Amino acid sequence: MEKRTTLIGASVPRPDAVDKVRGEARYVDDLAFPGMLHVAVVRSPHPHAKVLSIDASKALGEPDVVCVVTHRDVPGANVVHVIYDDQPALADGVVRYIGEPVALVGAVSRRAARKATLEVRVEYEALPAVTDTRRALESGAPVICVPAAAEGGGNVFNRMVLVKGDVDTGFGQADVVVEGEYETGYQEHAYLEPQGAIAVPDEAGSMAVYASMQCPFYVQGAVAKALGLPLAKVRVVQTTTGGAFGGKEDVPSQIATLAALVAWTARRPAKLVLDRGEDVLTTSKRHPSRVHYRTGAKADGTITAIDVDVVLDAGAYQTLSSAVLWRSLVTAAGPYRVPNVHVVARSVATNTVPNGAFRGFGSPQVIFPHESQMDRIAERLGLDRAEVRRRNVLRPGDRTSTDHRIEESVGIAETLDRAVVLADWAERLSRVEAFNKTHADRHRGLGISCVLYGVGLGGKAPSLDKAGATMKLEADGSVTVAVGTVEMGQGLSTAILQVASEALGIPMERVHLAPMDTSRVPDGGPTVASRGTMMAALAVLDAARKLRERVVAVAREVGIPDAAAAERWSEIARAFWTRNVDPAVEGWAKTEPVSWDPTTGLGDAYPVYAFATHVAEVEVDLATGEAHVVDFAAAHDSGTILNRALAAGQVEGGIAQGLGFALSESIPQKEGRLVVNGLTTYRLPTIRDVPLNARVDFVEAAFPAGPFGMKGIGEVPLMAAHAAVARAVAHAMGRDPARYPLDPPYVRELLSASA
Amino acid sequence: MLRYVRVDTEAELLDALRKDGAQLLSGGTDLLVKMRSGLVRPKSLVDPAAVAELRGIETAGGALRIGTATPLSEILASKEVRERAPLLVDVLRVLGCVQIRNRGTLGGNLANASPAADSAIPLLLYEANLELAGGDGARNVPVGGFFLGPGRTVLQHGEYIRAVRIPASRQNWIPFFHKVGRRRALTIAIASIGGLAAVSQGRATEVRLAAGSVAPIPLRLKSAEEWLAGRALDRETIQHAGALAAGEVSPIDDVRATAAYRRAVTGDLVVRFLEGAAAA
Repeated sequence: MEKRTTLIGASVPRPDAVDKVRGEARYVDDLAFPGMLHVAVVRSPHPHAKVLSIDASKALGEPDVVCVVTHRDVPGANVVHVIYDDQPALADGVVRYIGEPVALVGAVSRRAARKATLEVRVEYEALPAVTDTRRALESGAPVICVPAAAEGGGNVFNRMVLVKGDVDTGFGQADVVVEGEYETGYQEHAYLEPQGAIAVPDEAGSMAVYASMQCPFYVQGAVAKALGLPLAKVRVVQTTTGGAFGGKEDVPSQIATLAALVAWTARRPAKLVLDRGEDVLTTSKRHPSRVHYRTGAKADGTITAIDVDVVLDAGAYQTLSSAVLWRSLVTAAGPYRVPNVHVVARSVATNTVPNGAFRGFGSPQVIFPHESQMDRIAERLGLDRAEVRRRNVLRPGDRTSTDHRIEESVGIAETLDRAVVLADWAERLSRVEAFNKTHADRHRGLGISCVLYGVGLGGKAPSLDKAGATMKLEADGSVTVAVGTVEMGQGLSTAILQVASEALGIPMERVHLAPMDTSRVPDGGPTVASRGTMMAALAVLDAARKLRERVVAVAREVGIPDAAAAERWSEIARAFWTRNVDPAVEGWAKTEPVSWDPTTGLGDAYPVYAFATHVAEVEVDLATGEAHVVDFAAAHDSGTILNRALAAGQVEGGIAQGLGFALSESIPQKEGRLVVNGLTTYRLPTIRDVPLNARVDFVEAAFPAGPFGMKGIGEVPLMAAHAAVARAVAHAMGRDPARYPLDPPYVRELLSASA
Repeated sequence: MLRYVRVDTEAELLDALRKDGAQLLSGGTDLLVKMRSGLVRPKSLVDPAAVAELRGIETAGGALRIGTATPLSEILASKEVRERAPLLVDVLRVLGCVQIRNRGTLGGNLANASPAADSAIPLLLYEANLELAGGDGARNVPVGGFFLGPGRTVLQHGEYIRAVRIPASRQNWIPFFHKVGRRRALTIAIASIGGLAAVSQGRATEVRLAAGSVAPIPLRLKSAEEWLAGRALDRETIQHAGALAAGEVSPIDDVRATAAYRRAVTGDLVVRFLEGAAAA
């Protein structure tokens, strides 16, 4: 492991902050190109229907309309390329969800484009729709998805199993068995900047794409496929991205493909930026879930077996559901040592908007259950809830639910101990009890939640777990760095500059991170799975090592001793230039190969795991059912922390997003229609709802293969926060919730049931 | 083409409002949302923010006159309002958010006539009068007689609210307000309950109760009020008042909550208020 010095872990201010605060950062909708058209999408009003005809003649008669594009105009494959290629770019014969793109209007203004969508006449013949997973799984339910994408048969996209040990034996050894059914609903990413892309026809029949995104190489692949171009002729530039949270993993492939189809047809630049309402209604969300969870434990609280059934509502097309489902499968046991495990996980097609990646990626849906089960075991056995967790958390040398023996960087027990101290758990519990004795109209409650997160893509997509970086020593000694994963608000660019500066031994001000452009760096996989900073930093370290070697050699040639290299850096750079030494290097990183067997679900699922323990205190109004978080403590093990302030910011944001998921965020779905009006009726937490006194700390169980010992953090805070909040509400109520969100009507319903 | 007309005098305001498709813009925090979604399509927006008669806060003894185009944040910051109508301040503090309170006005909140209009609750409780102008002549309408239904008021074409008059009131009111929402700011009430109680030696001298989001209009809970007048605030009396209040509202099921929830919460919050008042 590299030696850690003062810059690593320092709360260096983000270099991108000033532009953003001053409103000078250029997001995709701030960009324009000469002759640019605006794209508006004609969308299906039906959850399931045949498309009989599309008549664009009236729209084409509008003076500002330049083109109308349908599936017939797609030069390459008519798909939004993600994993299964079951989703058409533009509907061809059938629509499978409300909001599915059917045609595109390209016009000289956004207003004209949107207006003209009303003039495109589409004739539909409604088909029977299936809009909930129970119905979709019934025998005799119509198959509503593309059959080739339904590997599980019928409407089941994927069915995955994990079998370790023997659950019958495990339950036989148990002194108590608890069983529960848990449901969660949609969660909207609500990134500050809606989805958007501009496609610009470029030299020699190539296409450039500028867009807000997490995964430029996914977009490159999708656009190339739809246009029938070689990858080398599609160049993707990431514009300043105003938040993503997984929502810009697969969806930008669709947005960019649609913009590119208009640009290709009209041979003019074309911009598609969704407004908030359209974004909320038509782009991916967290998969609604139903989980059945059975846990057996001995009298001392030690878990002997779990039997889990997971159903995720995938929506109409596969997109990323198989990967999301995989994480539900391998995370179902949580950060606990469970000798006998049986998990069945299914992603099920419905005639609803396709769901995709969202911070946590299939794990929050099993964390709410596993943490609820843990509390119920503690209650049945009369054990303290922190203590029952302490007896079960993974220790170095233990085996995970996938039978992965983990030796290094296993800090869950330390996060538990730290969180208990930060929260003053025992003392706070007695204060809560005293409060509840003296208050008849409101009660307080304390909740604790422990989580495990496999960092990176692991056994599901090992070929994506790599990263590239380029580094160029300029003639004045400044250094240009480029990496293949992106800044999307999480702070990657700051951490990368810290790492590059640390590794080169020069001040951060001399290093500049170039904008993400697929023509500049090799395909380094997606910025997802809490891997972006870790992988890019590894590639940067590799590049820096190579550049340092060259610097040392050139320094020696010109008589500068190694020890003086840092202070005489500019002289050395000048010598590169005068002596025609190649100043550019490439760095590369890949994770250790993992071994995972899809038939049993067993193996080394991920190269490393991140952990966290959160403790929440809530106050619940016993009449209205309103729940409010009054105190919060969070302890994380993400290995070495590169930038403490940014890591704490990730945790604070995750707490806010997690408590929103647990308490207030929901979207009712009625016959395939999402009942939501942008962010007006989608209740994100406000500054008055989040705990401003959250205490955040890191235990830093170093990961030797990570850059300076770091592993990922991005998703973990949300994963731990929601269950801590939900279980705190459960504690205050003395009732176990079976679903999210714990909004006032549901809390009151639970309270009435206990009266 | 939509026209924006900023008027300086009431005469100009009257003129501008008589034009076909004219719409008063008093803050616009509801109006612009409705325009964006196409629910209303005015031809001109008439902004009265500069008209003196519609601006500012005046006092006369214990009474208040608040120009309807006065931004809510200005009312919230007013010492005079805090002294004379403290419950109005309590309510405005949770109306919308800082940005909305900087733009929004009492006139806009009332004329929008949402069943959930927060400001209606304290104004109903203080028995405020609305000074209307611009119709067949100036007239005064009590807030309790202003709302006709969701989005509907007694305002005639060309008529507008000039000012809100809050009469002098008891100094010893025990105030209560609880807005039930899914979050603590920027939220439309699922139900809101307000009250003023004058209690002397455990007996209710006078109790006023108002509720929002539990009926087509914000309303006073008269039967509970009448039941309470002059009674000792014992457990049974309070419980009965809660039941009367719950029976007096006519809520609906919507995406925010069920009617049953709203009815039950109305009763429970009235009970909470009265228990607190009895103990005060």
